[in-house]
Amino acid sequence: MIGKEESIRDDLLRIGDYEFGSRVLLGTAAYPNRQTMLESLKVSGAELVTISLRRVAPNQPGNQSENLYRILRERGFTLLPNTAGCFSAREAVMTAEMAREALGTDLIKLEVIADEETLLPDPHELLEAADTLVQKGFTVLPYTSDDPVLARKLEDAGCAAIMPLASPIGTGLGIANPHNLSIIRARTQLPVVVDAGLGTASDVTQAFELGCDAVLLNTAIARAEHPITMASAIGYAAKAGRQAYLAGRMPKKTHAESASPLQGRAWR
Amino acid sequence: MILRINGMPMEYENDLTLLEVIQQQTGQKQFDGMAVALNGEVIIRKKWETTSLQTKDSLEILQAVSGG
Repeated sequence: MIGKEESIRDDLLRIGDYEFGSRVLLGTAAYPNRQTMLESLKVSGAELVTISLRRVAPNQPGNQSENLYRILRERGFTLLPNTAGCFSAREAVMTAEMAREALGTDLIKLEVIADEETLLPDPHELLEAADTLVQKGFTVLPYTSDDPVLARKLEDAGCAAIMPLASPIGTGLGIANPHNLSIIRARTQLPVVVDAGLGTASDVTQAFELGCDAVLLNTAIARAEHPITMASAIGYAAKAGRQAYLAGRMPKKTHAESASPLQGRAWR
Repeated sequence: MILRINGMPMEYENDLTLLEVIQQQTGQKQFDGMAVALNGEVIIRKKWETTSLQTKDSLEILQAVSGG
């Protein structure tokens, strides 16, 4: 047993050929300012952080010192570019190829959104894009609904992880359907990264207790009243939830059972 | 020549390379975290200097920004 407990301490997250000591992935958007963002990333313990690609504004000389790519790389983060804002497989594949060239990474957080109102994934376009990007040599992390059937198809397509939503992007509603996440976890060999909708530390702990392997948050931290403190809380919650899962929780019972021995009680 | 850059029509002198247009357009000399597509095809950084442009070419110039 000691051997097993030792191995729990050396508990790396493996996605494709990559290994991470932290099971918290963070977004870099919507913080009150860049300093708060960088400090939040630091205290959360995150190693893998998401970024987007957008059109360069014309004629902005001298903003290289503000270059986000350089700032994040200097601090040792691994970058996970996303295809946020893409509504078709074609757009997403093109964006992924641009990201690979811009950032020199084969990692891609694949998002193909169905509509702007729900920001839910378009299953058909997502699967098509995943298939194409795997064939082009990308390490594909697809943002998906909590549908176990789609998760299976994404695994069959050769994705490196499954990233089901807890609830819609930016809502902070927590895990809407824990049963589905359990089914996804039980049916895949891939790491499961809960992405979107997590609102606070207990949501994160719950994700790990369900057996999920990592979490990806942005708004929960960026829009917290005190982002840096929330980032720290999320880091602790991930560790607590993961360890609780590895520890193996006690079975639930319907009747009370004393932990103290009943034998040898006084005055009997 | 008229180029379409990030969705906007722009007029440039003839015979400029892709690199020269990107330098003029962005005002930058370093291109960390940046990528360019010409008519829907990604052009790798080391080919910017040797890629010539023609009128009606369409460029997308993207860079890393904050994202979730």
